[in-house]
Amino acid sequence: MVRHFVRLKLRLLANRIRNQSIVGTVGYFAMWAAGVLGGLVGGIAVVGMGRLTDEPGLALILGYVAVFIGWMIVPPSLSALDETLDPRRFELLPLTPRRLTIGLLAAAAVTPGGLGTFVGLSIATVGSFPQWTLLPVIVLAVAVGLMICLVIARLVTTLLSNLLSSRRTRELVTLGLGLVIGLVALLPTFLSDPESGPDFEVTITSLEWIERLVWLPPGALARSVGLASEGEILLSMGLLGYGIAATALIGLAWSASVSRMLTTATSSGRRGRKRDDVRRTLALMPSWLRVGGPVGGLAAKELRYLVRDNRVRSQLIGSLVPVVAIAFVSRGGIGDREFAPFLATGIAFLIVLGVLANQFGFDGGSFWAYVVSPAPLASVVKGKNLGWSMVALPPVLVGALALGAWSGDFSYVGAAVLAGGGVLLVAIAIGNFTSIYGAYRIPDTNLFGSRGASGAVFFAVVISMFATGGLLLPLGALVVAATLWFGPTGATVGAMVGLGYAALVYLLSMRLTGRLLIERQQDLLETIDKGLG
Amino acid sequence: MEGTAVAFRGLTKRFGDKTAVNAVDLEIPNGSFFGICGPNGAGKTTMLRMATGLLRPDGGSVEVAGLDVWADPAAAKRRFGVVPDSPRMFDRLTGRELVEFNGLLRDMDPAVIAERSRVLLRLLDLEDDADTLVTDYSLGMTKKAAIACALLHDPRVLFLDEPFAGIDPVARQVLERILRRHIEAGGTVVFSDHAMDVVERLCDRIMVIADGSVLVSGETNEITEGRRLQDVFVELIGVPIDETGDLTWFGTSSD
Repeated sequence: MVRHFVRLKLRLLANRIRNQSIVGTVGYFAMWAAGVLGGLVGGIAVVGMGRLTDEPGLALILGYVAVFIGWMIVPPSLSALDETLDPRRFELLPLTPRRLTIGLLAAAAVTPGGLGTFVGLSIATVGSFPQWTLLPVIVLAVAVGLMICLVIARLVTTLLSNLLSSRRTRELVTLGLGLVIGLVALLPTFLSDPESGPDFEVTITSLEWIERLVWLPPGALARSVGLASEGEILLSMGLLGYGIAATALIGLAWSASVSRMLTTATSSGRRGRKRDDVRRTLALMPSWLRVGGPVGGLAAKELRYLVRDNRVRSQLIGSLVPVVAIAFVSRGGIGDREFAPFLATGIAFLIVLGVLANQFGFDGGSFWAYVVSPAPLASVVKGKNLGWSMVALPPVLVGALALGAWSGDFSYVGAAVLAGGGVLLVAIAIGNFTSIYGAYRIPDTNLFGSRGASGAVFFAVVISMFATGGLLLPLGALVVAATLWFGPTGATVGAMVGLGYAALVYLLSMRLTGRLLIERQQDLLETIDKGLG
Repeated sequence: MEGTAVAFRGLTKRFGDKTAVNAVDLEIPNGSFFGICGPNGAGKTTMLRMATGLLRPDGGSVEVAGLDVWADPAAAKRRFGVVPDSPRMFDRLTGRELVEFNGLLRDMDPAVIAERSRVLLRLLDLEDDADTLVTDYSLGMTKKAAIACALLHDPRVLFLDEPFAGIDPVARQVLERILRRHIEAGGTVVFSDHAMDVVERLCDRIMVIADGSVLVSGETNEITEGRRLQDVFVELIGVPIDETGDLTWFGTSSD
């Protein structure tokens, strides 16, 4: 059965580059190369860190735990990229949960991440303890290390998928996960000095806290190699056994979770409730905006969709995480706390860029509705942009004010909001172009969705983010320079000028987008027609 | 033909405070062409999903070809085939690959898979597109590919949720022939559909369900008593009050 799953995975991988352009094919192979290269660099970094600090054992523990945490976070966000990992695709087949989970695990290994992890763990372990006598322990530690990463990623993905089938829990889980990630990032601080709170200097100069990570299964696996090199064979075997047992337990939990997923109805978790007039008015386009016609109608529709789309909502809620993290850090006394609101709004916006780049959905999941509607396509774009701005700006304003209150200095709040508005305009400008250019050319993926797609979406979003970053450089440079030389007043004036620059970028993008829409309209209509036929 | 192909015993499913399927008891004899009819939201799909191991019931049990579906879903799935209303498939496989991998994951012999998939793809008029990716298929072609997957292992019972939706008249004719052939060979077909003429023409037994409860079940001839099934259905479900008079603005457009 494992053979069939691996063959299925390889066939899907081969088919992915079918009908792809040269750029798509190169991008696809680049993704695999990046996986191997990432593993290579990571492995060498762990070995180098061990030699520099003369603590190869601690560096290896850190490496194993970091990879483990990476697998907990990254694959659940990208699971939609790999259709062999979606258990629901196998729901009609007579597979027991055990056979299904083993097969899925085998398929999960055949990924750039799986290959990179194998390369990275192998290099890190062998490089840290280059002794032939340790080979059996190293082989076991690497194999179980890779296995536990694969299993935890699948467990988290399936659990989230189960939880996220209810709308009510989706928000809580997204926010909770974001906070957990933020706290994990700050974990060294807690571990180093739990009494007096965060102290980054202590964290950087001390490696003692890493020893405590040995109690995590991946840390135990790494430590088992170190113990074997010290001749502590029994202890080494004990830790290996602990790692294997933990892997088995996680595997069993995953198997149970998959069984539940396959036999439970997915639902929006939202019953059709009768809203009162006030709620209905708030949920639709506020009349005080005085935006009517197709633009107003589309903006109203966007407002509804933006808060109902799981991916968008996750991104928006996720944008709160850096705000919380920055608040935490600024309270601890790192950096100039008065800049906190400034920094937070910038980071929050960077996070929503990924959504903007694909605001129409690359598979045209909703694009056809616009193309066949009587509304001018330019109005569609403007309506979408207005809807987005209405959703994205208030959290930034509230975040900036909250951070101002937290840090005790409101002098940069105005500049932060203005600069945030500028970033949003540039992000929308690039997003308009990218998403229309990519519509129907790149298959869509949704967070925790199951539609098959290639890494092209990921690369398209990354390229879009780089383009946005590039266009934001003048704005950023202007605001930073004005802030450093003239303080809060300079920051505000700089941000206002930056906003003007962003408005120009937006207007230019609207012209380009308009041309692109005209060029692509026929192509889009033909694609839609084919899809419906 | 003797014996029971599918047996529902007190089958119940609730979603929150809504009872989607309410203690349904039903036996479908072997060799039946069984149609499930009901208005939208009646519980047809929920019932089929519970019968095929895709949705765990809150109460009751389902037996298919003598096996309790929920006691051993994997074993039961070997005995039946399913064509859901929206099949989730590996759309980055070609039609041929999809059918073949389906067989391999069912532990079927590769030679048998090759032979059967060739015949099914030809019958379902997918032969020319067998090497096209499923993602490039139209809705009807995707449905045909799902039907080929469901038939490949020669199931004893075939469950189909609105199988004729989205497929052209020629393919419909072919599918009807395939399903009849399946029955002649001793199989059983259970399907849901809104098209009353199709149900009436094909099914020797029917069930009408509304609000999760069985309104009537039995042989088609006995239920219709010479009338059209459409009329019997409307009579059972009830016709809503005609409020089309409220559409006073019809015909007032100046465009």
